[in-house]
Amino acid sequence: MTPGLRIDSLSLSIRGEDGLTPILDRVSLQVGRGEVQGLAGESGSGKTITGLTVIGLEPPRAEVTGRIWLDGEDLMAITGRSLNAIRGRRVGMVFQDPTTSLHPQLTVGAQLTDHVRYHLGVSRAEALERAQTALDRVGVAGGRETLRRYPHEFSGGQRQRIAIAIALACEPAVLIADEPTTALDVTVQAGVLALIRSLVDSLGLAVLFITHDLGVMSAVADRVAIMRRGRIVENGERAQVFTAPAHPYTRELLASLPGATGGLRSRADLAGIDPFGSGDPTGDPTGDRPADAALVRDRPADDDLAGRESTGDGREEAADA
Amino acid sequence: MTRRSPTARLWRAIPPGLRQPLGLAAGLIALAWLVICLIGPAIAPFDPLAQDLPRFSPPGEVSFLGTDELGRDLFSRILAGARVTIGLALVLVCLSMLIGSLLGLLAGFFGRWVDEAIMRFTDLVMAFPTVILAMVTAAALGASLFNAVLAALVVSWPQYARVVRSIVLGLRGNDFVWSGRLLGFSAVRSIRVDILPGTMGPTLVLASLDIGTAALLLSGLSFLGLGARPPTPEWGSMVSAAVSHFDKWWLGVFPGLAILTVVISFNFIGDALRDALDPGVAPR
Amino acid sequence: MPSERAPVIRARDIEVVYPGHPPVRAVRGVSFDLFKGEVVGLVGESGCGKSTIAKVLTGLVRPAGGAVEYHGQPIRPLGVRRRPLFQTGIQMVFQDPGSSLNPRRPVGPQIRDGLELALRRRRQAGPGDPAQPAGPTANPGDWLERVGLAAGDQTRYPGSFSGGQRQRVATARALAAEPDVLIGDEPISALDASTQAKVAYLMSKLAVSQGAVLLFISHDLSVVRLIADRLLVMWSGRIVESGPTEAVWSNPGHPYTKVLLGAIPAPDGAGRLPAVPAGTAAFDAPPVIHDDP
Repeated sequence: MTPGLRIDSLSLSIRGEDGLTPILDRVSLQVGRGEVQGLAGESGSGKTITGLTVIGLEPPRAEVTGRIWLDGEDLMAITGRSLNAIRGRRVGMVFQDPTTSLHPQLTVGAQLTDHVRYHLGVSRAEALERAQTALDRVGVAGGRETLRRYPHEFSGGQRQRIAIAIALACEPAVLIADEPTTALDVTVQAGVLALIRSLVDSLGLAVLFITHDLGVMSAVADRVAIMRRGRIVENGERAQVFTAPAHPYTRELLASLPGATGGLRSRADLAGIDPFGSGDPTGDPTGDRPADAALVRDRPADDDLAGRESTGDGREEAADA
Repeated sequence: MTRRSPTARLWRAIPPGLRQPLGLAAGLIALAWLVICLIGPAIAPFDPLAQDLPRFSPPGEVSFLGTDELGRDLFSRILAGARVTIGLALVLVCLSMLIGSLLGLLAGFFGRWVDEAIMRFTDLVMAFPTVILAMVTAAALGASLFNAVLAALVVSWPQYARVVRSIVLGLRGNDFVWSGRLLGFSAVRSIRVDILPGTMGPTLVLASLDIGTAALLLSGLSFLGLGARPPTPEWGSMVSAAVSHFDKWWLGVFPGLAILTVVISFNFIGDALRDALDPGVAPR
Repeated sequence: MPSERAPVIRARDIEVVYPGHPPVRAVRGVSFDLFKGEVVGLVGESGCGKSTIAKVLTGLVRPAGGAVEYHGQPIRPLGVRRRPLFQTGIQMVFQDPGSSLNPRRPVGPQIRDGLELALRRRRQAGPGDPAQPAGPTANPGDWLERVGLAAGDQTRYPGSFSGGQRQRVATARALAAEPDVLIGDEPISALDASTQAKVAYLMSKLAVSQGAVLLFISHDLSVVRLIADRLLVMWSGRIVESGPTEAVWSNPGHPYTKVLLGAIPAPDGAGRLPAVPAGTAAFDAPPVIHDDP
């Protein structure tokens, strides 16, 4: 048995009018206890869907193959109600925007205790006790009074801390954090990143940290996987990926970033970049891709997508090996 | 996937809203009704006004759908009545859409006192029960089909004003509307280019839903003697007339079915229209 | 910047109050000048008032106090009437690529709106008019090519472009009007990281080559510092630090600027957590102004 989360060759396609659209292609990842596995990629690369699929929230009409193991248990074999017992209990999830992930009409206390009572079957008093501990753990002060307040009474950073407290209230083994600091100001982000890191170290959490921000990735992740068009093109130790990237796509990506090794360090470096280009080694002219949601709907004409797809494959295969 | 057969290409040319068996059927039915509006009287097997057939003959005996209390052929009357009912409903819906949209656009775009004035007036009209207000207006104007349409217009524009106003309020805050204004668009140009096209979809859908209501309202007025006068074949007044002959089920069922198919098929058309008119936001 | 030249934009003690309970003082006494041909970065975090400044400059918001002048003329708030032609020399690229272009019109006609405006201004402006555009006429296709798209893309709708491409089109549209002030209000923050620097660089290059001043508003200092000649750092409705980019970046003087710079995580693989700010009490310190070199 491997403790933590293991994703084995996960593929996902969405059935549509034109047949199957591949979204994920043989994604494999392993997140050990006390470890942050970063999953980075640009919009539409499939990183969010990977996270959602782990907790069984893949989009409708999706066909999934592969294996997902949680502490040695095969999650793909579990369906329906039993899956509910895993979500929130053994796998916690934190989303990007705490203004929408928290229920605006319920008190923080209610949101912190409901699923604890559901999953652990404890009394109201004990659930409140746990809620208090959870809030202390994420550094939201105010004691019992805080539990009676509503999400809008808190700042963005505090709301995200509360969302983390909710995710961790049942003491799950695995936390999936999908862009948890993207909606926050950088000065607030610093605090939340430090919190996540300290929780990993003190609780031995296994964290799958999904973000588009390689700066954030560099700050919290132990291992970094770079995803592109539904495929992991590179996965390695943080220092190795950032300082000696093996895949051309990773190199291109870093070269386009301010402050990265081989990236844009000063104004003079700008002269070297092609302002028309994208961070895509396939030479896709201005090929920044449509947004994440676009995976399911709103993609550009399928013909030109098919065209794009074919240009990249050769190089990718070579580098994958 | 890249190379499509000619059949697939033809399939793609059909608006997505109609690209399903139900939608396709609805589209064909609506098309059929519109054709009947144009050539209905010409293809009618009998004279829709002639009273020379046996009275209350059930469907299938003398004629396809039977005859009414005066010995007129029901099928011929339905074919001839399409022009009256659908035609007038279309005219009514177009006019109320035009008036309502204009007022809604002005209220939503200019806001402040313009909005206050228009919307209070709209509320005033909506505060009256629709049918009674239409009846009073029609009675005041004098009984005729034209006046019935005018009276129905008085009560049916406010819903368009309200819907369009709320859409405009939503659109007005969009960055592209501001950037148009920054590029020196006048209010008129801003409305025409950046606002109006965005209101078309929902308004047309509303209009397509409204065609049935409009047909019913006009029929209602006709029933009260304030619209279509006998012997004009009009579906609503045919249904109304059937009320006094409950045992002759065909008298009410067939004109009723005609109204029903019109309402449903035009709904589908409305959906398809929205998809076609909103290329930027239509689901693919 | 040589101070004897007249600024294109001159803002003095701008105050903006948004009505509400209680009213929000979004901008509390902001003054700055913008000069022809420079790129100025206006940075700060959400709610600091930086976007409100953009709205004041374009007339979308009426300031409660202070004065804003464009070539010496006060900026008239945008009402029901058409924007004064003279002031259309101030153009803006908005934040959200999803709504910065009209989704129901192909991009070609939208760029043409900008071109027509330039044409009207050129016709009306007298000789010696400081805001008179002087560039050669172009067509939408030329502009699409200038921002790295194909001339043939004119007939496509915004929905078929990616976010970065839409911001390029929005830039082309604004610049086609030949403004001498281009404001970018967080124009890159919704884009993929690898695209951000490219779009920012493209905007600054094109704006400067037209002789316009670019006011680039962003919360992301790491990109802004690559393109800006000068930085204005805002916190809580005030400018807390200003000066040449290198001076502010390498030698921040105000406590808030120090915290802001320290909080940016660098993608260097070092695994360094950014410093967590200790509180905001120190941020009320007087503003730091670096002298021009």
